[in-house]
Amino acid sequence: MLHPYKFSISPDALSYEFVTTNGLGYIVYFTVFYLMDEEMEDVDLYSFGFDCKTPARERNEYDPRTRDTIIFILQDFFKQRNEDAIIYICQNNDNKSAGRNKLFDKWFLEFSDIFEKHNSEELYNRYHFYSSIIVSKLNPFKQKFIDAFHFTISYWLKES
Amino acid sequence: MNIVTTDISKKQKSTVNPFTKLAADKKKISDAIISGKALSTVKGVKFVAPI
Repeated sequence: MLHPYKFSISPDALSYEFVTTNGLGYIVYFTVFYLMDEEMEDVDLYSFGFDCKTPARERNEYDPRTRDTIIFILQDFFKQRNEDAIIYICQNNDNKSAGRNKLFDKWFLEFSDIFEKHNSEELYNRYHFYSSIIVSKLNPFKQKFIDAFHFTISYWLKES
Repeated sequence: MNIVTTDISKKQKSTVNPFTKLAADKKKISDAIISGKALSTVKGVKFVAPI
């Protein structure tokens, strides 16, 4: 069972924010994203991300309620948009993307009865791209998104 | 949720690698958050406003 922190909408109304019991502030946001299908038609969806306002080097405690809050916000998103999908990519500019990817996988393992998550790992321009598409198991269009996810990755990130 | 900004036209879409753009956007967003700046100051990203 989730035990999320209380969260609110940011003053600029572009994100969610919450503060942990240790005083760490987090921002959770969604942006517009698109994939393409085999007919090269756009498939619109969303990307999702979150960040702590405190740099990683200044925080080291694992807080399961942070995960609970982020998962709760995602669940809320899918309650409103059950027929949409979300892309998540791990930041890859600091050689920590593999660790982030592993943590994100672990988070979602417990919620595999609610979400379907498909992953990709590609080496492109010397960077590792760990990306995932998340859809509700109840989404009647989920296969369209999953196919477009793999097609778009193959089109843009596969190095021949 | 409502889309609140418009920065990428339909025409631009197919010529931009969406994954490298997203990676670059995430870096800009992360830098803004660490610096205490509002997301509205991040240029070139279409945020989806919570309802």
